[in-house]
Amino acid sequence: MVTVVVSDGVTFTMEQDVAFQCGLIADFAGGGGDQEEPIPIQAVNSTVMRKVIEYCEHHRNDPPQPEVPEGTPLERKDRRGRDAWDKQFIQVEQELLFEIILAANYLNIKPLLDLGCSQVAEMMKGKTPAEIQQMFNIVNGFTADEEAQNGEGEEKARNLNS
Amino acid sequence: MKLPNELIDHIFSFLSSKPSLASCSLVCPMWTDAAHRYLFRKLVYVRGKWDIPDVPALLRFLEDTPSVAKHVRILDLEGGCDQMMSYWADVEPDVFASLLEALPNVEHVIMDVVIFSGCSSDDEDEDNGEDKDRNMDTKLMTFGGSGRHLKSLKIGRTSIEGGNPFYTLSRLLQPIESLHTLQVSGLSYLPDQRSVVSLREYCSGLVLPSHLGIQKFVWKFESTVAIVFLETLRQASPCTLRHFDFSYFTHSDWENMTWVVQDFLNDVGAGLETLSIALTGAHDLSSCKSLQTVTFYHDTAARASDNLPLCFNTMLNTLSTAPHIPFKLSIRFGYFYLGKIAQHARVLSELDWKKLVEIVRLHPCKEKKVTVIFWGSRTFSYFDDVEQIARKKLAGLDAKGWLEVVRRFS
Repeated sequence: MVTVVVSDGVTFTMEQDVAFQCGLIADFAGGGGDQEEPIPIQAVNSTVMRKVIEYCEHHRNDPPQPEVPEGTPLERKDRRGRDAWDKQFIQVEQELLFEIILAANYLNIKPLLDLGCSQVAEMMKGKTPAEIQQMFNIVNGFTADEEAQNGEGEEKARNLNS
Repeated sequence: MKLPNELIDHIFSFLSSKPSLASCSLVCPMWTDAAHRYLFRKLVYVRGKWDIPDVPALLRFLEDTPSVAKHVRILDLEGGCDQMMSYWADVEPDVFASLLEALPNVEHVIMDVVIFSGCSSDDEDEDNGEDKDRNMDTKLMTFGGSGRHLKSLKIGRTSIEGGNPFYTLSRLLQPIESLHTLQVSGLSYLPDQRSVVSLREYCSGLVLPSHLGIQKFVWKFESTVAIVFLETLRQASPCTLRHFDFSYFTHSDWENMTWVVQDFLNDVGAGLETLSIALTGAHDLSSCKSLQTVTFYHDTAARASDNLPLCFNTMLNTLSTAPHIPFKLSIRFGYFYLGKIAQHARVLSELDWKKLVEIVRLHPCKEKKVTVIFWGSRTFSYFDDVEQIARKKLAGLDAKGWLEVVRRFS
């Protein structure tokens, strides 16, 4: 068993095959035996850690994911590995979604990171820049000159890409 | 949004829609560069299609917008469908060299129907043919040298106007430092009635530099050209070769091909991980110990030989020499023209389907796919897997039964 203590002081105890899906914990534990001291996970709070553990428990028997080489067509990358459970799991409030992504990145859980990021990408699809700014509360920081430049180059370059 | 830039970049990697990526690039300055990285990853230039009229104009556009050019990893130059647009005869190779230089991070180049100009303004006053050739040679080498850091080159129907396409390819390849993948298909249109002897002469200019370290080779071409090429490839000692796709068209020299391919497999087969091959005769794959994935193309071979039962048995015999393929086995055969459906039905009823099902079922690899190809105005595939043959009781169908099957596609 592996025990971790998160930023708000809550401790979680997991079986090794669940815990070791987190690359950070596997590295910390050195890959062997039960860990006596709780491993401190300061960057993650208990709400997010519960979700992370839920994900790792569901996927504990998954075979290792093959590395996707750089240059893999985006369409293929987009479709891989999202089953119905995953889709349901990642339907969370935006704030929690971002925290899950940050936790997955910090704990080094690549499949969960991909799941979270592909969910954000899904939310952006078909939206205008203004809609994306509003959805994620982002300030448009372009100067007037930059705005004008954006308009000129984009269409010509997009033609070459289609 | 409270995500760091590296994660924003990762999110964009899941966006395949160009309009969505374009929207993201205009959300805020911090997102622009990351979105452009995916938006402009592949640059496709189809001659005559866009409002950029020619390659010099494309070059000017890229030089004026380095923020776009630096993100291009794949450059796809296509002559276009229009016959008049298929020729780039007003474009010299050194213009393409400048194009590659304007794209500092390009790794993959695709060129289809690119016919370079056979002469230049510099040559106009030149009466000496040898000097002219040397001038063109230098320009071709310059082009290849600009792409010395390429990872892959896919080239089809590309040559100097009026010149030998194999010579062109050799000159392009020579200055490249290393190349992971080389894909050559329909290098140039060959005259239909070219004899075997003159074909050999025609493609004898092909020299494949041995320093390239090619790991993946795809060659789709006529068989005599393929034979000459295989001999060239053997001389280049391709010990690095891991993936080999040799699904050529077999119009001539069909029997000789089997021996040449077998010699080649004996030489380099031990290192091969994937093999796609059109069977012109039975092969012994027992020396190919590292094979993970095999695709047998029977369609082209059957089309050439017009003897499908023979080809079918050839495939079964080859398959029996390769019980060690662990991962993926794919078999494509047929290539039936829908205009002769009664004849196809008779041929199909003569094939030993039970033996095919038995051999494929017993094969220990994880993924198995058997496809029959019907070809007409569209190409239709029939069967997703070998179990369908058993389920649909196709193994026991007579000519009348097969006629019903074939009619579904007509």
